[in-house]
Amino acid sequence: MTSRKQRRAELDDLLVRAVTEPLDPAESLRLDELLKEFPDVDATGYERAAAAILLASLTEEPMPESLKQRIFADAQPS
Amino acid sequence: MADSVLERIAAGDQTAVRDCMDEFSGLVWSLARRFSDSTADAEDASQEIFLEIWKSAARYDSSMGSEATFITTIARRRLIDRLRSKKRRPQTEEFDETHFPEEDTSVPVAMGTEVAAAKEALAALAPEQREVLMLGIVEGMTHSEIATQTGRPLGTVKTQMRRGMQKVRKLLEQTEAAND
Repeated sequence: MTSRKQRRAELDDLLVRAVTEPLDPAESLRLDELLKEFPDVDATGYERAAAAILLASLTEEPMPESLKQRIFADAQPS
Repeated sequence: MADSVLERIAAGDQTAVRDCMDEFSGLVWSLARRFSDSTADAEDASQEIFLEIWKSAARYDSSMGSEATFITTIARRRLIDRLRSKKRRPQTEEFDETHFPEEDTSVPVAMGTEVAAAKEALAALAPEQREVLMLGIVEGMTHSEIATQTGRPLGTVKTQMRRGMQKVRKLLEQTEAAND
């Protein structure tokens, strides 16, 4: 039986891995179990860190106007 | 304080959709191009991402980060899923550059506090950790692909990724706490 500290570390490990590669079904289940055991853990913290890293490396280019118009038209209520 | 664009979209403000496009279309397009191998693919991805943004706007919580980070999180998830499903199919289309302007109109993404914190955290990492994070997060490689590319054991790559992400996350949390 693993200790609570070990399970907390396992949760952290799964949260990091989930950001960079798909978890298999058993791992996804385990992640859900651990998130229930540790409800105060911020499950999205590593995703936000990954987003910030991506933003830090990005240079922005304007979206083609025709694509903008299509996306905007799709967003209008029918 | 005025509601954010995403909060306005969640409230049903139709003018906010245009404002969101004006503010974030370049970001979404640049991310889509980074993770796509054709113009058509980048266009499809951009449409999917914005559909997801409209559906998810109500989940935006300004205490958890900027709108740019929220949108990048959505975009990254969608683009990684598309990348992984495409790896199961052969690539046949050559990248088409005809839609891209000849002159360089690219600009760095606006430097919010999270981006500055991420840059600071990345700069403080050991070079091998930084390399693993860039290959995994920015290039979308799996741990196995990174191990193959760098020649390092898979276990080492996983450890470097975990420790690097922990350091970046910690600095971001410190930055968020300082801004509260």
